[in-house]
Amino acid sequence: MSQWIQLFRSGARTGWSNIAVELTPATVLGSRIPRTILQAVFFILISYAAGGSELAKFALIGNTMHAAVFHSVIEMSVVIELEKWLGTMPYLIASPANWFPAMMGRSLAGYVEGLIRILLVLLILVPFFGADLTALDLLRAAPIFFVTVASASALGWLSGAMSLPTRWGMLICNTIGYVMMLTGGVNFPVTALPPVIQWIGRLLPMTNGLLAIRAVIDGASYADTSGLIFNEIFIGLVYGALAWRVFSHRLNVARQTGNIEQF
Amino acid sequence: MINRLRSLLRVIAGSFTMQAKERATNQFFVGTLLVLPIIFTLLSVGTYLYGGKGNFGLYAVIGAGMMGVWNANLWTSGRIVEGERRGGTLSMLIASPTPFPIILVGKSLSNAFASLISLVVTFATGLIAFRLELDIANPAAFIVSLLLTLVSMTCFGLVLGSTFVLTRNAGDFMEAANYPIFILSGLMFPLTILPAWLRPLSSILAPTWGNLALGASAGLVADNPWLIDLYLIGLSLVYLIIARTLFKKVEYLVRRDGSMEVF
Repeated sequence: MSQWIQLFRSGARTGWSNIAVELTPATVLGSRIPRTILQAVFFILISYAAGGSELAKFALIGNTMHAAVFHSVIEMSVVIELEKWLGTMPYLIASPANWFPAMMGRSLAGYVEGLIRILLVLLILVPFFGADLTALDLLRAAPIFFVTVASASALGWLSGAMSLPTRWGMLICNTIGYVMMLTGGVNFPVTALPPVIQWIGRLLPMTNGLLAIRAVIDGASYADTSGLIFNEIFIGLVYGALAWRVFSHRLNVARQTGNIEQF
Repeated sequence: MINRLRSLLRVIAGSFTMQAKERATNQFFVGTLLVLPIIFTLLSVGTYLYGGKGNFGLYAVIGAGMMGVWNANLWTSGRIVEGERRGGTLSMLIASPTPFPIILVGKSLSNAFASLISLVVTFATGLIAFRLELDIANPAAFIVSLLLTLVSMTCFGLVLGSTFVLTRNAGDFMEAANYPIFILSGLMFPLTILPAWLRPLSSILAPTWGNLALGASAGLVADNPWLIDLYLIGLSLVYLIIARTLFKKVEYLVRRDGSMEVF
């Protein structure tokens, strides 16, 4: 167990180092923060033009969640992709250490950054749009935000594991992020979608979590939304387990065929 | 003079072809030309339909197409410079007697024409997914406006591309620069919902006028498309002058400091 903790900690350190390199004042102030805020603003304005301030408020909550989820899906996918890009995948395979706690640690920085994005969007855009949202309601929903970002992270791992033998990882995880925006009830309710799309949305992370967040913000209790929260956690665990299986399979195949450098 | 012109055209044609070959294997272009236009069309038209403003459908389709065109252009300017830098060829291109902007013009035009695919994709998505009536009131004006918009956006891309030479983080800044342009240009919503003090900024952006010209040609906006086309031509010339001045300045700086490889 102590070895797992050590691996987790060293993974977290590596993950933080990777992100820290990119966190110069210029990239944070000129790119990361504006990108997060302005993407949300763009979709909120579309909703405002389409359905007035009520739909804009709906989109504000949805895009707050999506800002974190989108980032998490990409970052978790990149955690796996990065090993390939940097040429460290063979060492990871050859090492006797268990890769799971190390990868969990590596993912921590991306997860935390996702949560920071939620905070940023809320702090800037709620007063900016004058949305009728109280800090207390948002704080009550905070645990569901945490769960939903974690659940989406599992999908990011799966995406990274699946796209490992290809060169299309970034395109795949970006597409997943946007598809979640479409099917997850971010800009308009899931119920407005065709039944088949609703069904797909319900099988993806974020959809249930976002429904629970909206309900809690509107005054529902945790008991009322427990089904949705349970679904979100369950979906996250399923995607996490799948990611574990697929990544293990990829590593085994790479060991057997010796083609890890061809990825 | 004729020989000089001929050699410039040869360089433009060569870089045009080179870029087309590179694009065929580039996942970013698959994303910006095929995947994103579909998703943005579904998202925007879906939001307007949910908000009970189905008559905004064609507006949203054109806007999504313009976003694809702009994406391809902005990614072009940034990615070309970044690609050359990563490939270690940027210094050689800067040092070569052929002006670097001429090479960039060829490559940008190549991507600009390819970006027309995104417009076809958005129209097809609107037609298939929402069965929208996509009647263009003045097809001749629409085609001319589209071509002028492409040229104008390419020129605007050159202005941004000149500054990308200065930074390694062009990719990050490109991502951040997308959404302000989408918002200020009113690609997906009427500009009237933006604060009045932002209008002067909107009026200096090629996508604003391109979108307006296409909207007027399609019969969505009560305006004369030919007059807007004239404005687009003037704007393109201004962009070219600015881009030329900036390139000269940037080129001088990197030659003087010998800092091309250390940015």
